[in-house]
Amino acid sequence: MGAIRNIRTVDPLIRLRNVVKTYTKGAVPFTALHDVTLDVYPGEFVGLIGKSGSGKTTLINMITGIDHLTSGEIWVQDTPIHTLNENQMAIWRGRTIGVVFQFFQLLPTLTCIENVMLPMDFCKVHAPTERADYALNYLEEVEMAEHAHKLPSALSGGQQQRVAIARALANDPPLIVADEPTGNLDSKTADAVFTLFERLVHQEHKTIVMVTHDKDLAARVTRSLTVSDGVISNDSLYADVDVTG
Amino acid sequence: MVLPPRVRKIFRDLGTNYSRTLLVVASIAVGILAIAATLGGRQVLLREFDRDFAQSQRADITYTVSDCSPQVVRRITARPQVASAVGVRIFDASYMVVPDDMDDATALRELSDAGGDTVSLSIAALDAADFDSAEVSHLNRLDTQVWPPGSDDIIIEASATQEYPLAVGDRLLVDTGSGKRVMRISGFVHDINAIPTMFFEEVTAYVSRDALAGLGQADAINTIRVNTTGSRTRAQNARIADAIQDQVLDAQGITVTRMEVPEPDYHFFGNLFAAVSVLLLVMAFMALALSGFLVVTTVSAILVQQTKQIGIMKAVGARRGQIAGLYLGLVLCYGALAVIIGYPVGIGFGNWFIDYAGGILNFQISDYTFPFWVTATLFGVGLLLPALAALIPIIQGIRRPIVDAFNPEVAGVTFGGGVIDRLLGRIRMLPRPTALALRSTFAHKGRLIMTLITLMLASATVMAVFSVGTSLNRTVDNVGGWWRYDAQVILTRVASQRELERLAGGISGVEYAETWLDGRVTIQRPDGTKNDSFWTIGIPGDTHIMHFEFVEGRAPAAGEEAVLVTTDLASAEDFLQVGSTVTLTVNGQDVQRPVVGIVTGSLQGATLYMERDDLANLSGVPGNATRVLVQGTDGAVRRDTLAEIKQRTDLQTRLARQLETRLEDKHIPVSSTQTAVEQLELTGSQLGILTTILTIMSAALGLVGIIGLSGSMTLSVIENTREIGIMRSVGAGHASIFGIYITQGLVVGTLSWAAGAVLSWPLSWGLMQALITSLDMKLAYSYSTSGVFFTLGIVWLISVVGSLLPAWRAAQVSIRDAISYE
Repeated sequence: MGAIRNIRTVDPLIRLRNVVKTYTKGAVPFTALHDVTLDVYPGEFVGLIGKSGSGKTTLINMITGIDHLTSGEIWVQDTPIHTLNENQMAIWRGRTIGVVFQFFQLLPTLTCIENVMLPMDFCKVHAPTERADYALNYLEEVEMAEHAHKLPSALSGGQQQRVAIARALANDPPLIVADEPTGNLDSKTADAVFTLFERLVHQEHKTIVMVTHDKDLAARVTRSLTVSDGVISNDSLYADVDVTG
Repeated sequence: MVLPPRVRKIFRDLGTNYSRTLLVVASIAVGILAIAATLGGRQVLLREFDRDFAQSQRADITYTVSDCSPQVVRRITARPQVASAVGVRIFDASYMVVPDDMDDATALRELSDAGGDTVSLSIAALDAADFDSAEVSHLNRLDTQVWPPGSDDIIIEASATQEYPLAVGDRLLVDTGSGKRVMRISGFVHDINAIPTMFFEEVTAYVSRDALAGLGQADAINTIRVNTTGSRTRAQNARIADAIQDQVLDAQGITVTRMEVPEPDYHFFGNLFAAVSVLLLVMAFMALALSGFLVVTTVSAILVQQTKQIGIMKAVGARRGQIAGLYLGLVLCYGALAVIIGYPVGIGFGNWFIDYAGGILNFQISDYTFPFWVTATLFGVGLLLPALAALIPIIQGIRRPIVDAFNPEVAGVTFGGGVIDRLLGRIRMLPRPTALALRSTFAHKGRLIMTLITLMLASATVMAVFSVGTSLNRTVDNVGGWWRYDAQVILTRVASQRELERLAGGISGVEYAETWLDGRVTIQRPDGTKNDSFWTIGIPGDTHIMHFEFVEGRAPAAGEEAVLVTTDLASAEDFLQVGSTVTLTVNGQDVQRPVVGIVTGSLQGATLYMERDDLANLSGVPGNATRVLVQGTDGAVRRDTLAEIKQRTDLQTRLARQLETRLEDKHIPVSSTQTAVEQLELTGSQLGILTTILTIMSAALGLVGIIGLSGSMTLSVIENTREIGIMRSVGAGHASIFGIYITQGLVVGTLSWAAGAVLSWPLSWGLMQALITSLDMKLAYSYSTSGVFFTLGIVWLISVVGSLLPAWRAAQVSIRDAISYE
């Protein structure tokens, strides 16, 4: 418990204040998030669980800036991301957040290493000549170095997701946000990917916010948030996880 | 150099998506090709025509005179305002080709009696020195073995080779009526001022003055060509011409039978060329519009497919400018590839077309280089147009929230929202695959509209070309209705009207014979200038042969002293109006005649009609004629179409031959014979040039249409891969998949055709108006309904051909790949 208290003595990495998201595109406006207020601290491994349509993905889309909130405030690392325009958001996101998708979303025409280099390229991180070395290091970290020059289509789902995680790490962001990263993988591969996330939290001191349906995996996070009908209905801290490493 | 991954992505996208790359590149390239042929072709033709014409130094003044000596030409040359003058002898003749195995003596003895084909010749005899150094009516040497030609040599104007298989070394039996001689073709020249053989079936030839004696011709000049100094207007040249006539020719007792002072930039093909030029310009605009729509459609669709990748890149930190730069780069690469392929192919096609048109219109192309602005347009179409087309989808793509990019409901296409969708949904009696094909067609409405516009423009052009063709054929038919003769013979000198009518009437099968008189009349303008002489035909007041199409007024009655002018003449000399009085110079004397009517011309140039006896009296040949025309059985019955007249070909040919033989037997020298069919085919061939050029161009536009449809359908296959997989999983076989895509193609094709049919009416009408203006000729307008339905056939063919490749592609989709397709 002491370790968790240690975390909470520092400033939160993510601060959500009264966040509301209403979709107006359908015939009837639909509110996906109702007045959500939340703090996430550095080094936490947060699992978002909930039923389909509960608002989990909407919540992480708010944090990553992939979608715009209707009202409220979101601060990440002292940046009020609700005030950023599209371009500022792109630069900020590229340097601050690594995004991992359920369907991997690697660019099919680029090799694994090129996919990992792409965020560095866009955000001008590292010298152009050094980017390949960095990318290879990240691929080694996810045990995919030997596949560096293969196209995504030549890889299995689990391997693609590892490359996607390496890409998320490319600009060394403090925060990784993952939307059901194991949802499209078999249980063995899902376990391996999850172990990788745990290592990132414990060894690399990353903060991870992850949506998951898998109850077994959800039990391995340091903090579990249950989302139902657009509100956080349960917030559990697991004392038995040593998040300070 | 290490390329950043995003640059590598561009090249990888180009390299891996062959079909998309091919599609976009083909779309852009075909547009470049069409514009190169139309716009490039037009500009090069205009430039080269002007250059060739300027180089030829066409005479500013031409006199046809009674025989005179070179001394007269030297006197004219010495005048201050004269830059140069050349004296030539021009005379009519005919030739027969001497077979290789026949010697000259045998040919002279036996060939003309053998009754082979004779071809009309117009021969110009020049001083040996003038072949090279003539500063008036310069000849352009093409392939000459003996230059200048010797006394047994003949040089042929190159346009003859389009009609007759003549080669250097061939021997011709040349018959002038007063002498025969076997002459050897010693070379070919190009003369832009010679009327190409295909138009009047007459070969232009050149001999040296040494050859005149052998051909039974006097060694004297009968034509003097003069160039004035500096650049002058026609009126200024006319004053110089009058002064030369008064002070040199009249003073020497030389009779001037004809004086021509053309507009300095006038060429006899000017109108036809202007028409070709207008048509090419219209076609160039159509090509530009078509390729514009095609490029916009294809590039937009390709970029819409990249929506998700744009979302991914934004999610990993790409800024808007970076993404825009990335895709603009991609589109520029497509454009560059298209330019690399389309530009040389377009130049090749354009050059072929330039050669073809230059050949028909008889001018030489020495430089095929497109003007800079045309090249710039081609590059613009290849590079800028796709980039501009891409801007909208690129901006849409980068503005779309990332969350939408991953949501197929938002990023993809939805069906069922609009009125058309609901209407299509209500059609229930269709088989499922047909209903699916129909609804899929309307799923991408933006692209559907663009594809429809592209195909509509293409089919409207094809239909308009059909209507222009039909209208021109109708015009030819009308001309057939005006000249109701079967055969006519034109004489080299005048003969008695009564004798000619008696001889012609005695031929079996001739029901009616009439004689006309050809002449040249000079018109005095209101400003006092005595200008061009015009071809004048004296026709009996009670003619049965000529049925004029009056624009205004009437024809001179029998014995009436009045003139009738053609529309071309009336538009060239606007003071010629019905009711006005004109001063004519005929045979050296001035007379006044009222203008009583204006009639439609028939592409024979400016013509003046008079009552035959009036012209005969003025010309000093009363009771004589130069032409006899006959009608055979039912000859007076109006035939409405060329096809109907063609049924009389045999009769007409027989009558022409018998008439010619009969006159020659009586030692009346014949210059040429012509049947009504030949005359109409001649007019038809002149107007046919326009139809041919239009057809070539519409074929190029049709190609743009095929690529457009095929592209649109291929995109549809790419986008509907998942749906195709689902269909296959529930039992759709190859035939069903093919059926769905071909039905889609047919639906799009038929809709475009219907819209095109509506557009083709104003388009064809506009094209005809442009032709009427440039040809100075009243043309019949006839909208071709058969052309519209024929075009439907073509459109269906295009639709099926355009859908085959996409359908085949669709049939290759495996269920596993389709379901996992992202």
